[in-house]
Amino acid sequence: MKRIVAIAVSAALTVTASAMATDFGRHHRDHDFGETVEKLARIQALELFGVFAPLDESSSLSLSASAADANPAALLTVAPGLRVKVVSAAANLAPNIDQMALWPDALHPTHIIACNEQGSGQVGVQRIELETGKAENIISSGLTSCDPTRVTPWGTIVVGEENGVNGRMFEILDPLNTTNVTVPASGFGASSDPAHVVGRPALGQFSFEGVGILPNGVVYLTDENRPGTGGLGNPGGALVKFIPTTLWSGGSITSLDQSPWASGSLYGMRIGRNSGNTDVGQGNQVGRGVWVEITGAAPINLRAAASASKLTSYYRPEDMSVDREALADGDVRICGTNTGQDIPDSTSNGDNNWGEVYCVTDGTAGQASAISVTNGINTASIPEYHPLALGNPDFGMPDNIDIQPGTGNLLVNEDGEGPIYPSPRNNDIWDCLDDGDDTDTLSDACIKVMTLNDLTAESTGGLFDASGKHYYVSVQHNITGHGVILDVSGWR
Amino acid sequence: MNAVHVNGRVGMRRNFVLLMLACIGTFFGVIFYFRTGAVPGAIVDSQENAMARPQPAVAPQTNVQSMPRSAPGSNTRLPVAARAPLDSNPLETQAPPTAVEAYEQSAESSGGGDADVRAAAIRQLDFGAPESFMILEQVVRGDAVARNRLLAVNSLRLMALRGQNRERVTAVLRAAIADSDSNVAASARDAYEEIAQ
Repeated sequence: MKRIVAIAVSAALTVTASAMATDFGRHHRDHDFGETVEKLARIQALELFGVFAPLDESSSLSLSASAADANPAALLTVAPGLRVKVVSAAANLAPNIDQMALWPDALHPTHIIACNEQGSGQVGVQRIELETGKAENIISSGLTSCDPTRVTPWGTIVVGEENGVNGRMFEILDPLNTTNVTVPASGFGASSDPAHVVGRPALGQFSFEGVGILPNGVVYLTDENRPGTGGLGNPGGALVKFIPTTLWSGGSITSLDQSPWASGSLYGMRIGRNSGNTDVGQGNQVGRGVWVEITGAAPINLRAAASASKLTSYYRPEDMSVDREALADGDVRICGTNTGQDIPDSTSNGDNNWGEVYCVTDGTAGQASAISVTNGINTASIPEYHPLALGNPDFGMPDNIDIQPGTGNLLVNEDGEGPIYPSPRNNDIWDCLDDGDDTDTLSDACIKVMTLNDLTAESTGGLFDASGKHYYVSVQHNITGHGVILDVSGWR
Repeated sequence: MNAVHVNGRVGMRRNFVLLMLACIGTFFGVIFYFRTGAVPGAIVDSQENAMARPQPAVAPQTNVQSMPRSAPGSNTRLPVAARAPLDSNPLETQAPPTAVEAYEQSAESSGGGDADVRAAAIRQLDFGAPESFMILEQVVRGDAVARNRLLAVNSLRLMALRGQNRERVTAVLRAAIADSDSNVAASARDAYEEIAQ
């Protein structure tokens, strides 16, 4: 009898204990702590992101052309608290407006200078008057897939081509009074107005996308290249740095001959410092690295140089933004995106690589701009690469990026494949917190703050003015057939 | 009370306590066992529930099989992923190979997906080319990707507004109003009404 009772007790306690243990584990799965963090981000959206609440989901609506033409602002749904105003939906506004720059500066802008990402037969660069929305051509033809656009510290505009090893950078002087210039469809021959538009062979050639300019003219550049281009196992896109022969010390130029980008030297980022900087290659894309000197006669084929120098590559590096707060502290930090490949896994070539947002530090501004080459390595600064936010099925293929003045948050334009999912969804614009004082190096939360209402479009070129209260964004290749640029305000 | 009596009463009390513990333990064990489904079968259920959450969309197997495949690094033609036709319109024919080959483009600029290649080709169609209408009609009636059908509907709209193939476009748009995708249907309806005006 005693033995039976003891066995019964043991069995009952064993069942109870194992059931409770299993149940404990289930509670962990049912109540994902990450979901709690996401809820906290929602609750604190006003404090953290300046909006009353994030958007719950991506829009699945796709306006017809006539509906979008009747109200271009309806192409974008924004988070509660934000407002949308149409900057321009002019019939002659180029349809594929990509990156944009505020002119003459982000503090008191009067115009947007924008690249149009089409063929060499179409308009390449336009200026758009903020007050009227009037669009005019600056470079009317010759550029292929014009994409990056920036204002330089010396008062010019720089634009680049996302065009493989044929990609070029051009500099424009006096963009408000430079009209209908043509440039050669390839090479660095003279433009139709060489006093106002010149090519910059010193910056090399690849698919220009990310451009991060320091006040002294040092510039970081990325190559939007996918792995495997040109052959199985070929590297993706690299990050290079150009250091002018003469660093810019301030002021504006009156002639393009005075630009610091007339000459300089190039260095490529190669992650891996262990064992005499030799632990490089596949498997080492994160952490600290070196700047490898890239030599040759201008214009250097940077994609070939990247392969030869074993530069670290990423999956289609896109836009980048200089961290102004870090720069104000004397440090260099640039944040960019690698867009990845999120084609649905139901298709034969789907990768489910949703991309990432990353940041690279490069020491102080002085270190980042110095040259001290030993054995082909510029040892003056140490680049350090870390992911900041990883993509996911709802946040795929990050493309354009800008850091919001005041908050330091990162606004990211999604260029994902949601529109071709069997249950289509629109591309969104995400708002990510920067990394804080916690232990990790990752963003603590990202929320969806805008979503398109056009499954044929993507949002591009999003950028803030200096106040951080106006966010300008293009609705590229939208259903209307012409460009649409919107101003999103209402940020608290 | 001798030792035997004491041991006997202690033993009975111990047995009673043990019995109660067994009952209580069994009771809670059974409760936990069934309440949360903490059994292998329930764990499977839990995984199935997780799979039912929003996931990257997966096309039906038929689409997988019908989607064109491209080798890494190779260019891709403008094929149309199979989709159930809106009706059995005799105009639904395959575009001649020479017509589609003209719209090849690099995978890099398109994003590499077959659907994106087709979208880029639709955007770049020359409305003046004689095969353009047929290609667009084929996309509207047969492309599995709603985004591509939207593009084709809009291209047909523009074609008709330019005075080209007006009657044939109107017929295609009228059929597309019944598209299973609400966005395509709405765009087709708007375009149809716009052209009718």
